[in-house]
Amino acid sequence: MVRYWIVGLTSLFCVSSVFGVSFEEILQKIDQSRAPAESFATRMMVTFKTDHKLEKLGLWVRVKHAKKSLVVYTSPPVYKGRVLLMVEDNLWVYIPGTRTAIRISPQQQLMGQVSNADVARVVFHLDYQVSSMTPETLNNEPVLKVVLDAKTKAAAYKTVVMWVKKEGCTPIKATFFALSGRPLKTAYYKHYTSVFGKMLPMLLEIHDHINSEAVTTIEYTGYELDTTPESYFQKSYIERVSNGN
Amino acid sequence: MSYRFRISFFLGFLLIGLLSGVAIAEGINFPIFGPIFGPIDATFSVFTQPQAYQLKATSLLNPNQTIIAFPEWKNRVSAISVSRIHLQKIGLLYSQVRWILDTDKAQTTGVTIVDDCFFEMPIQDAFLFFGKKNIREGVGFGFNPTDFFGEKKTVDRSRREEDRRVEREGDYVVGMDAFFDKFSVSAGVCPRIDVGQSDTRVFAKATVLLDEINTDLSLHYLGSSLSGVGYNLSSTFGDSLVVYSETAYRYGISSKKVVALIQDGTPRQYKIREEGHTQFVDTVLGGQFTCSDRSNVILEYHYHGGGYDDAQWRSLTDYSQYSHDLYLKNTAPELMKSYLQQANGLMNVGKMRQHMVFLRYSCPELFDRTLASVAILYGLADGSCVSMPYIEYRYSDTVIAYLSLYLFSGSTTSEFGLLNWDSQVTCSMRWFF
Repeated sequence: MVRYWIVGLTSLFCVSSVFGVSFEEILQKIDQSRAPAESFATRMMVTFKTDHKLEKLGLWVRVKHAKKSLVVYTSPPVYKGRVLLMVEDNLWVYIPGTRTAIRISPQQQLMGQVSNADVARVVFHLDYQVSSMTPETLNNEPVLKVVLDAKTKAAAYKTVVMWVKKEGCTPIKATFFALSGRPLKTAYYKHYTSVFGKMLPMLLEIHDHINSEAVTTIEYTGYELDTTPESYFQKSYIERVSNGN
Repeated sequence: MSYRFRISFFLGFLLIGLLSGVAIAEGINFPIFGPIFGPIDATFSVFTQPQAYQLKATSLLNPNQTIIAFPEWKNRVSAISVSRIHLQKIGLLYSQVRWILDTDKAQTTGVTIVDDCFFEMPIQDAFLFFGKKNIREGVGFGFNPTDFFGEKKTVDRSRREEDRRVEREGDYVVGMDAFFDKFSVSAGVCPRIDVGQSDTRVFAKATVLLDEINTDLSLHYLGSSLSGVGYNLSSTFGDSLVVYSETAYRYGISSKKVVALIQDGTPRQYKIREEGHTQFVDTVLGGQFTCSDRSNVILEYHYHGGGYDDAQWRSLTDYSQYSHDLYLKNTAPELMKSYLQQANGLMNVGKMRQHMVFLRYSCPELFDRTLASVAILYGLADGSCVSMPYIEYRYSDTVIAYLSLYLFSGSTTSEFGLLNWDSQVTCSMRWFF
């Protein structure tokens, strides 16, 4: 038994040292390609499209120290003013007028194939750890296939398989798996642009594995560094955020 | 004084309502008020809501429908204006006003209800607010023991539990919310201005997130003729389960009406009196589970210590049965009629007994644009229940329609069986501008 452990650990060491970086460093690099800073604000336009429907959702997102997020719905009118607050593993939703925020579970989804975590959680390292890393070729380009396994119960997915560029570890594609092991969706990271000196994808295209005709896109616009006070990221403050304070 | 105050408030609401009606788009600036007004963010919605009742031919409280004339249908047309007016470097003026027109077979009546009209001024990390505010508390869906300001308010029960309290008349209040890095505190006073309000009330609240155990906790206090202290707790387990508890300990003078037999004989002499000094516990324990297909189940148990216990309920039903029987036998019919009218006045369905269970199953995305749910309110004491199927269709980003049913069942002396109708159906269409 001990022998298997030694072989396993040695293999892991070899794989990571082949690429000259540790698993943690890989994850850190992937995360750096998803957010311009630990605290920032951005606007998102989520478009959910099937053969017979097209829906759009405008969001305004503030992130604090990567662990806290405020997501304000800016359109359409029926959703306007709705706020999602995520503090570590805690999630609340505020519906205008109710004047109370309701605690929700990560399973309660936002729209289409976009989960709350997709917009509110901008880093993987809080919920996932790298379990394997292998070199592959994608579209005639050498890439790394990185497998992330959930390390917290609140993680939205059991496993995330990512294909990242060898240089810089910027994500190209990711497939997200449910607890049952069933693939839920595949996301494509597109339109990389320099934001505050980092290359960030401006478009995320998500293809649904269950409903093959459904495609959700998330467009990011207007990144800015943010210094939102700590007190804003509280359940009792949400109403003010909704009111635009 | 209070009359003048209310008149000036009403004129203020009217002005804000007109402003918001005009400024239906975000960011409209009024040049005249340029130096003062920031962006005005306003929404305006109109809805029509016909409602039909399946009346019982006869019931314990309304034999042969001769005691109270219940309408078989009614229609409500409402216009709702919600506006946020940002005043440069001063604060926010928030208002929600409803103009309602109710029509039934006999008459049409109109009313203006101000849910909110308050000014809120930031002072560093605190907010001072005053005006009329619909203060809502609680983590429960079916029941909210710590929603102290809502216990005597009228809500539209045809709507989903999350949405019911949105449109509810507010209270005049002066208060402050203070925010710190890890917690917040609130306190305020609701002076007795409105004649419908029994006394001046004070309130306080502290809210904190216990992040080590992923639990949020809030502590509540109400100082009033019927005071209360309570807590709200909610926590997440794994990625699908939220559990919560909401409890209030109430003490003071209760306005609950109980039936007392004054003198036996024919006819019996009854008196309906207020309960007076009391103390009780009101608690909810619940959970919400979300399945991988996004359907959602909520289960709540409610112990309402302030409700009718078995003995008090028996007194009420004996009184109703006795009045019903003698009325039909034409013995002291006027007295019996007044007894039955008073008994009808005591009905507050869903809040009368002590042990209730609330269960709801909902599919938030059935056939893309449709939300469907079915809820059941079940009385453990008498086995009566009400089933509430609900279906909501989002026609577009600005038009929503819903259909809501109430199906009552139970023995003639049970909480839901006592009602004068077997079912009610409500359909509604709402346009947002």
